[in-house]
Amino acid sequence: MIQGVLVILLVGAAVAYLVYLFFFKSKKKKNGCDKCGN
Amino acid sequence: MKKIALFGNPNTGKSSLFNRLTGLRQHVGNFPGVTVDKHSGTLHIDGQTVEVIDFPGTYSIYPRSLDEQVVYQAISNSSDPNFPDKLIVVVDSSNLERNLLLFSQLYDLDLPICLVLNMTDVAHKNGIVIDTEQLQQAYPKAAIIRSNARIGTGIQELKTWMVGETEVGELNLDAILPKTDKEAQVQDTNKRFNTIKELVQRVVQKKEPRETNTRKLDKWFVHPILGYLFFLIILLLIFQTVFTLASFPMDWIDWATSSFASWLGSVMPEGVFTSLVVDGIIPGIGGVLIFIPQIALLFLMLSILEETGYMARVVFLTDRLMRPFGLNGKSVVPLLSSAACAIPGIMATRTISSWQERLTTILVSPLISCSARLPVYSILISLVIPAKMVFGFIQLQGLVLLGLYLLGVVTALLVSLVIKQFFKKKELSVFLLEMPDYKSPRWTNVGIEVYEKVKVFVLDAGKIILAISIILWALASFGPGNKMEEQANLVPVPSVQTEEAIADYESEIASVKLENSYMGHMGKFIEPVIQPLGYDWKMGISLIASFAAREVFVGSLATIYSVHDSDNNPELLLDKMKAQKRPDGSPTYTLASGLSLLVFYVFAMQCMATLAVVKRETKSWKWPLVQVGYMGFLAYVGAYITFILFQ
Repeated sequence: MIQGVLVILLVGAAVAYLVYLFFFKSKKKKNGCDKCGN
Repeated sequence: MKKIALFGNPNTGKSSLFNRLTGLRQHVGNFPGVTVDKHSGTLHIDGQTVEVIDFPGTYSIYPRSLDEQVVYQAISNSSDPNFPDKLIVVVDSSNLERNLLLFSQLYDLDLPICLVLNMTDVAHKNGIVIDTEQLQQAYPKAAIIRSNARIGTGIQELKTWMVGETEVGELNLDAILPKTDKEAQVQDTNKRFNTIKELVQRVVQKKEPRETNTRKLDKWFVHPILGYLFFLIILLLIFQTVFTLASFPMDWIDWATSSFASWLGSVMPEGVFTSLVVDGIIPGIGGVLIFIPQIALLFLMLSILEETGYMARVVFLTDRLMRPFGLNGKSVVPLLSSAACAIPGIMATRTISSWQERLTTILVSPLISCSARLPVYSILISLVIPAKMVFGFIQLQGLVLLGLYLLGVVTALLVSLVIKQFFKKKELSVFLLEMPDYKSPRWTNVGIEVYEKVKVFVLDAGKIILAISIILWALASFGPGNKMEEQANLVPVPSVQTEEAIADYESEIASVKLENSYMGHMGKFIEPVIQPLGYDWKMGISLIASFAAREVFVGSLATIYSVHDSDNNPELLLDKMKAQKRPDGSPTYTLASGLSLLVFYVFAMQCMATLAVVKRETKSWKWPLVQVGYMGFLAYVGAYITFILFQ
């Protein structure tokens, strides 16, 4: 039972981490304007 | 905390100075908006903490490449997160005329500024004497410090200036011309160069140069014929080191992780979590650690070449050969390193300053056959290519192997050519090359470079590799409903309990379980798609499983065909593969399907670790996805054509 819960947590964390990297993290980085430099 | 920016032309010893100041208290982050690593570090001086930011090397504040944009972006806006409180401009004392352009531009911003006359040893050797008093008169607001970062001269003086009181000026934005007004920039640059030329004539005294060691060495190293020969020898040395020397620590890591997994499996209570740790997490961590020797050795070699000044000669020699393909002289080393492993190869592309050329190199590097493909090539060649001689002295199997390597190289060059057409000169690629003097490497710089590269790989790419390993484990360990267990229970228990019979029985159970797992279902699901290539669902499972790493293909085939001792006895697996039949009774592995599979593996992007590194280096998922897409397309079409031709 405990082993099952741990597996669900870890596999869920792996999926969530990849989803986060894929859909959210790369969109946050841009905060400057390439044209005006501001 | 005070922010102090380090600026300077390339090859001025700026990184040596940065390493000297910050040591291992460095941090690699991002500059916003561009794919450039931001190297920063903190240091404590007289109770004060300051942050030093090492900006990319640039000849002018007006950006020529995307990388150089960060300099313009940081200094033209006082609200930019990287806007500095003080500026340090590192110049090469032996080439003041060219180096002073950037300094004069930054000086006019009216911020506290220090001119570091670095590489005084080189200037001294070349008979150059700089009159710092006259230089000070020309730039009265700047602090001027003589330094030799390689041995630490001038560092203490610089540290004192960094925390000392300086007149805080108001940022003079009028000194910066608009980014888009190229004509005004050219006029301004010419005007500055004229002033600098006059100044240098007054402040620099130069004795007649005698023939230096650099000139003597360059007679050999950049010789039109001998230069290439030396380069080939050095490449061979690098390649051999990465390929062979790394194999020892790689074997130890492999042995250590598998022994640790077996030990953990024996002490942990039986169950699904133990299986995750033993079959998913530890092999996943092992899959990250195993690349460290190759990465460390390659960067050890490359940073020695860079430190000694030889790398500039490599670029000089190979740039002309690579340019027609949209690549750069510096692409040669990453591409050749990819023959050992694409991961250190892709990480080595950082030295390419043009983003387009760097991206092209990154995109095509995995097409060069890496060492992980070798087990796949080897088993498939033994299976479908007869062991006979061609022309009486060439082994056909060896010839096919050579053909596969050549196929990868030629395709990489052709794809580069295609990518070049897509880019259409958005970024001006100027071949501006400086030949620094040869010097002995500074081992601290080499050590920091190797350490940083390994750290970035383990921390950034490693997390992605581990996450994918866990997901692949889940797909192979679970299946819909209870089918896995039901089917496993149908496997007849051996009547004789010999060791061999039990091992066979366990292999059979593993095979049935894999067949009925989610991964097995995925293999069957993709069967209609891969059937035209001559593959069945069992190969489909191996294709999916080998996404973790190409060499997993052999291991997963061994599981599917219930071969329990494939490592020690590869003949067993070969015999099983030869015996495989399709539903109509024809053999599964024919010349056509075998060659088709070989071509598939030459082209397909079957390596999550490479994808993770491409994501890390391009700081976006777009390029790894483009890579999966175009390489998958090439693999499918190439394999299909091969199957049709040889059927």
